[in-house]
Amino acid sequence: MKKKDTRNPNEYNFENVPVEIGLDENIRNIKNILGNTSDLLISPITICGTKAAVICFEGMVSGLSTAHMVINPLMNINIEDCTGKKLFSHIRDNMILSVDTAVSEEYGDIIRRLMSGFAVIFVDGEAKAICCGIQGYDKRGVDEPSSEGNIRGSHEGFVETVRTNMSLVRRRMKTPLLRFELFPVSPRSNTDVIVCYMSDRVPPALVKSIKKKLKDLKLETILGSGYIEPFLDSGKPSVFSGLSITERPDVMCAKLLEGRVGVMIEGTPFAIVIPALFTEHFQTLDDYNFRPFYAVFLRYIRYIAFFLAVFFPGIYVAAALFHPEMFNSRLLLNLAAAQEAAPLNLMWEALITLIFYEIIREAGVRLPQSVGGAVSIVGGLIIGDAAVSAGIISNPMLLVCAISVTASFVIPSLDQQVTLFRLAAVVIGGFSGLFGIALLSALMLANICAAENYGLPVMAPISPFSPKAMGDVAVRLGFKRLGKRGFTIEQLNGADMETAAENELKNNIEVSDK
Amino acid sequence: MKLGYIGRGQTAVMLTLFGVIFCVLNTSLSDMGTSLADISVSVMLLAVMLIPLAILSMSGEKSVPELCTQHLGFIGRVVNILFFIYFITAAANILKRFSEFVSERYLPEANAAVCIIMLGAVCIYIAHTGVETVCRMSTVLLFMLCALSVIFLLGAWKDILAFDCNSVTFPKLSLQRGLGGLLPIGATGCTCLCVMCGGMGRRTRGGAYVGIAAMLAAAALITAAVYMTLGGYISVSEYPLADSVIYAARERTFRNDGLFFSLWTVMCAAVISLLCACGGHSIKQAIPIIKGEGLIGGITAVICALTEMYFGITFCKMIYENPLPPIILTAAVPLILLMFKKGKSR
Repeated sequence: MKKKDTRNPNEYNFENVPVEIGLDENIRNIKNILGNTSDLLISPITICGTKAAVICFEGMVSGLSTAHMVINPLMNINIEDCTGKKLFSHIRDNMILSVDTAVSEEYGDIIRRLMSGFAVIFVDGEAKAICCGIQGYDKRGVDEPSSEGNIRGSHEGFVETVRTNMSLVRRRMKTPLLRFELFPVSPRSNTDVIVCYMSDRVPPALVKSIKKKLKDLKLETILGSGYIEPFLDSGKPSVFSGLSITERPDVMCAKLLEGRVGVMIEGTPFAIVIPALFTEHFQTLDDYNFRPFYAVFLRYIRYIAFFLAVFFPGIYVAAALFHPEMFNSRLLLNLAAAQEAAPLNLMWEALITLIFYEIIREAGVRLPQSVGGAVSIVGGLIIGDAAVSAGIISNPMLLVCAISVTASFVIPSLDQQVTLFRLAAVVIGGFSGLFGIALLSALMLANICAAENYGLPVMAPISPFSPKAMGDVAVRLGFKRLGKRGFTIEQLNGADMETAAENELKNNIEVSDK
Repeated sequence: MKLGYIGRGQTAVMLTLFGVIFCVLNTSLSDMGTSLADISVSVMLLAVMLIPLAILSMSGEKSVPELCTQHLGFIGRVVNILFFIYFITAAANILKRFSEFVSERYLPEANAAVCIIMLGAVCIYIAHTGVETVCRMSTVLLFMLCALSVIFLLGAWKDILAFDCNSVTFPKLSLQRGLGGLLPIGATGCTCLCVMCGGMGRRTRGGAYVGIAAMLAAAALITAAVYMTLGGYISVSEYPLADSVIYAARERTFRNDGLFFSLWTVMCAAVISLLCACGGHSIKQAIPIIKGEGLIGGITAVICALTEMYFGITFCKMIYENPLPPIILTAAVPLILLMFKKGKSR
């Protein structure tokens, strides 16, 4: 095998190359590796007659902090018979330039730290560098989560910076048992990923398996949680996922307490929770802030909303086309009168309405907020009204689709699945009536029941049935009783997560060995 | 195929569903007293037949087809092929009869063959996902069964109240007739044999007996309810329960036969899928190189159902007319395996 040339590091070969003893060589090498990029700042200084340099990236560190915390203290150093080694030892041992300080001996580590907002100090005559964490890049402030609204809970949501997210979780869980493990993922982008868990609640093999999967990722870059979700999911093709996404630190804390693992990614405010259950889509933080009777009512509203969102247009089409005897005679007459003017078959009418809705929604999401409102007006009022007036779509169909779409807003986390199954229900209901709808519901039920992640069936605790968990699924008990029933996800009936995670780990190792 | 997490509740529910589906599609229900007596004897016999299986499941590591291959070698593989034929013909029979019912009574626009293919496609997918998935569906199916009963009672309560109980005469219990009535339900026990005896130990054994009790209760209730609702019409009805519920729902104010029918279809799909998955499991043990056993089971059942419909061949005729195959597969095979295991441990 050809030996690597470690003396001339460049952008392709610098990972394990040791730092040079001379300052000029180090500066030249850093420039070489980074291709003399414009945002690289190199500040040469002389301390007690010894040459040194502070290197950082523009915009990644705070200019004020660099001046106050690094350059000023360095300029005030006074050492007799100063040599490079003496100066380096003095800075390392006697000065606190930042709370996050490290000594690096390889270019790979130095470059990673530079990219993460560290200032790196090189001293002539020492083959090491001191890295000071004085990050000062612009970031979005902690704000209300955009996708998980609530009334009485906290209004703080995750942001794009993982370190801020870490602090948001830590502030809520002041226990030494809460662990964060930060490591770079993806060989090209070196994206910071944090795996967090409660050490006493989580099966150790689950954490190991997740870490192994993340470290083995060969993605070029990770720009969102969706990039790594498929690698953390079970791998079986399923419409329903064994992972959940949250934007809320309080939800994350609740999940961690149940023995799950959280994965936070630099650059996205959405954290992944592993594993997840189907019933969790129907639970919100407000359920635990409201009185239990009202929380139970709301929960059943959500179950009903899910049913309406998926099946209402399909059942309407199936019943009207194949089983009109199901309708009350007066209702049937009204529907028939409204339908008489419409030129299209009911199934096509439903499909056109739903696809139009999807187009309008997509336009509203993609356009700037100021124009998005106009799209809603044009789509909802003008097109809708014109379609009914022109007799293309009947009023009952518009009503049915509107109810179904509104119901789907109640469970936003299931939006993708609901959209897919709603359209499928319309098509199959239009071709084969309630028989087809029943078959689709069997298929959907089987798909949910078949999904599992790390040995935990997504359908738990309904099936496998766990009476203990019903206090927070079928109803929502008061905290006096719910608090006593605390359990980890591993204790759900039928879940053998430790073995399942160990098996996955073994499989992973075997695959990577091959 | 994973058999790890099948609990007693799931086993009980699946057994009950089997009892219901088989009763509805394969029992004549011509005389209420006789039917009730026959069902009771049949279920009692089934409970006795399951004793070797229950003992075998105490070690609970492998299913009966797996044990057959392990202990009986070539003969075990042949037995597994018999298991496969048994499950698949039963699945094909339900598939065909239910599709015919849909086509005749509920969706006259659709040809029975189209219904077979549609229902078959769903069952193939479910069977492919495995026995465990079907058993996980059981909790939801239990809810459906309860909903079905409520709908039935709401539709037919007047008939039930007006029924003269003195008109029912119970004949003497007869082992011969019980054996005759046992066959469809025996097939259920035989199917669950595959499911129950793999890795569940004591818990599922309890579930099997709870399931048999539930099956008895469900079958008895159905027989009584059908008889009370349909009366004289019963002797000419091909699908007693299905017809009676549609009758009850349409003639009364509570018009939701569509809901009933949807629940009924899901239950039927689950039962057929379980049979196909168990069939696939058996053939996998007979011919280990086979992959996608659930798919093979499901596709074979669909082909058999279509063949039955177009050529008038009843593949499961031998099974339903003779008590021997279910007795051999449900009781004799586990007993032999038990003796082999004991002999080895000595």
